[in-house]
Amino acid sequence: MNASVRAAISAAETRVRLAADRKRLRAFIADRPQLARGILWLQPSYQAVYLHRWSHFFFQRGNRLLARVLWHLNLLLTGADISPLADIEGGFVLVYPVCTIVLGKAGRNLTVIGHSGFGGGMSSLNIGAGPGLPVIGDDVWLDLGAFILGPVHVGDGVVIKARSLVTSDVPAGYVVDSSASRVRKAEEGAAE
Amino acid sequence: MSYAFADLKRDLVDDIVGHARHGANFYSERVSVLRKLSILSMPPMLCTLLFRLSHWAWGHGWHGLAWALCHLNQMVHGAALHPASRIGGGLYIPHTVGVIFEGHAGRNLVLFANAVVANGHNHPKAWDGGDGAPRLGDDVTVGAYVVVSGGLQVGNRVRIAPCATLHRDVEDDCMVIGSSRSRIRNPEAGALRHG
Repeated sequence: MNASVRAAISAAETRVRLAADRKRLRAFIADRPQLARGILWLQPSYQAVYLHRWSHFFFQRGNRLLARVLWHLNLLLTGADISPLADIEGGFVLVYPVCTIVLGKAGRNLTVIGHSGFGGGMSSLNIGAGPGLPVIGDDVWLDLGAFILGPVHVGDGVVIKARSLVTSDVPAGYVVDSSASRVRKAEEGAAE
Repeated sequence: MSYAFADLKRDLVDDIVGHARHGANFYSERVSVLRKLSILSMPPMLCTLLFRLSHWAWGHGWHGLAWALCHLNQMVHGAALHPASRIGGGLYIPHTVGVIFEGHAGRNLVLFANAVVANGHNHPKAWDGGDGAPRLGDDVTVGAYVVVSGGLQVGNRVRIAPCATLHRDVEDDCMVIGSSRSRIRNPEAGALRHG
């Protein structure tokens, strides 16, 4: 059950969020020392976020069919499974959309690199870190293969490193890391 | 980096030979020629072909075409292979779903399902084939669900075991072992053994 009934998102708010997404994506590319060329609309990174924004809009307006069509189109085109339920503020950057699963609530400037995501299996909703889904703060960075699962609060500015799994609350500003792999010489067989 | 049509042809011939070699592991001694030729229509080969074509277009400076082929590959096979990646002949991707590759590799690269080789702090569009991405040597095998991330150098004949996470350089002839081994247990008899 929903803990709180929220006002449906407006088209204007969706456009504001999309503008923030575009701005952040452009800044994200420009920050990198190499080239930044190519049409934004042809990037799966932007397609995934764009389709999700309108899918979420239609879902909240009660047009569940259109929401589902856009969601499925997103899965087909970009490989990102971003549920129409997911409520993500502006500035969402999804770097490699393949194998990304997003369900829950997140703040501004969320970065999801790829193969990562958040949500919860068999969730019975209550978004507010109640029974199923995570609530994530602003400026969170999810690296390759990082997952946040279950009803947890993740604070602002948290960085979750590659292949880490978060199933408990993380305070603001923390870094979550998983143990590194071992490298072994094939002939000697001794672990480093 | 120019990538002429002759290079494309040479790499594709190597790929087909590699696929035939790997495919031979899956059938007994006598199969029909048609069955042997069917490797050319299998997703691993088509995925490799699309990647080679996109890399060829990229080498000519036709970035739009290169990205279009790359995205087609991603839509059809679920593999995001950056068109600027230089990968030697004999590329083999047995299960294409979820594979991300953004970097350089030598000959006979094997990428298993969900393998990620990228610099996670780059945006794919912000990488033009420079050195800010992983560089793998010859005969490297990347296991399923592996993450190789950062501008690192991996030597020749390195095998990366499933579920490993790699953030640093690796010498030749090494094996990288993931840190997450599953415990296999019988709930009635307690912990039995490590998987």
